[in-house]
Amino acid sequence: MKPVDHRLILSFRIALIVIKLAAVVVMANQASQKFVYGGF
Amino acid sequence: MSTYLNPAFYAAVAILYCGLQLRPAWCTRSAWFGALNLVVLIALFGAKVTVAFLGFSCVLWLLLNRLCHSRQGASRSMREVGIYCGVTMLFLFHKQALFWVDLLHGAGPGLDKQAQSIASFFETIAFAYLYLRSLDVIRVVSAGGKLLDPISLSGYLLPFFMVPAGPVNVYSDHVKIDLEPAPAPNWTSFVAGIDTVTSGLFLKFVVAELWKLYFTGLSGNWPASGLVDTSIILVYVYFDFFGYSLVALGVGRLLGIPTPVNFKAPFLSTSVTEFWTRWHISLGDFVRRGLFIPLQVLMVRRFGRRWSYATNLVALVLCFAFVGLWHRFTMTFIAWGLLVGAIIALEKIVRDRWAETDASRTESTKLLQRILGPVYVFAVIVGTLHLVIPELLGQAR
Repeated sequence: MKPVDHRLILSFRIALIVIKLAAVVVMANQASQKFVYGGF
Repeated sequence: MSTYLNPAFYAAVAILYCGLQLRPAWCTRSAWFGALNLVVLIALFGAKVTVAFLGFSCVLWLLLNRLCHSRQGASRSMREVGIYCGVTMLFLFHKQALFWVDLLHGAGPGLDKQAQSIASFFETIAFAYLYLRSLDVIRVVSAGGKLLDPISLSGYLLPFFMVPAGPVNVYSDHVKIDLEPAPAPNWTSFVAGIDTVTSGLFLKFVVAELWKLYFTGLSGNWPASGLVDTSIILVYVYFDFFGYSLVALGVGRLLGIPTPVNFKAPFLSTSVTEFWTRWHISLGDFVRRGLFIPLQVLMVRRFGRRWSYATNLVALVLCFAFVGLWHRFTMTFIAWGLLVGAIIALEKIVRDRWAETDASRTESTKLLQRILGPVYVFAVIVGTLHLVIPELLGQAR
């Protein structure tokens, strides 16, 4: 069995972080222009 | 703007992450965190709120310090009950803050302004969570546990990253941070912390908000006439609250401050009892250790072990009545708590009887439970939530 490449996992995690942050920034930007975030 | 979308919040996290590594040797970790936390609270919520909160921490510390130094006996018990009552009175005031503001409205501009600022103070510092943490401290210290110094205590009572939506952290876990060596910062744990924070942000500000946008449009007004509407709101609340809790969890992990996990796939539960061990876990754990167990012990001592099963059921119902009241101090929420408690008590009776039968042990029954259980749980949760939704949304039914 091949050993797990930790650097690859770390890179994958960082890529996911960037994608999630980008989505949040896009939504926050839209929110300020078109709608308001909110629960109840 | 939401606290978790405020860039100042993340600047505070970064400063605290670095600041915690620069702790002087003479200072304990809890005290150093407490001091830095106060600075962050001033930056995020203002000096007025922070000084008022610090005043609350100091008064609580003074009362508990006196309790620690008093002898065992009736007067000590009276003091303990007095502290519980005092904190509970403040909590009730917080729950009825708007009522007091309305009452003082028109009593003169000075009084009105003061009432407004007191009400906003209780709102800002999320007093509902502060109350539960205070109860946890009182319980542990009155049972002989360690009392932290006032600054460390303030760091436990109101960590800046738990202000928006909890969770209810555990006092005895917070005390332990002084006993264990500080975790050395490393790249993997740093990325894991950031990963948790961004997952929380994604769930709250993308998934939950897209879900809401899809069903409510740009108006953002929730329809709440039918059970389907309630189930849509329940899913929104799940992503919203889970997201908030994950952000707090991630920041807690980054800073090395004990922060409990709050959600564990609640919709996969096969019973309502199990659901409440997977949804808002920190509140459930608090109620179990701070209310259910003491209440059960008290009732068994009073009525004898012969009645332990009945007292167990009564304690369950009373605990959920407390959970209802904690959410909102109204008759609707008491009724909701009593109803959920009664369902869980009924489940316990049925489960105990069912476990004795041979049918409960077959593989096909277990499979059926795993499939139908979540459907039953979702239906019950939506049904009970439907009772309180109009009040939550501020709509009269």
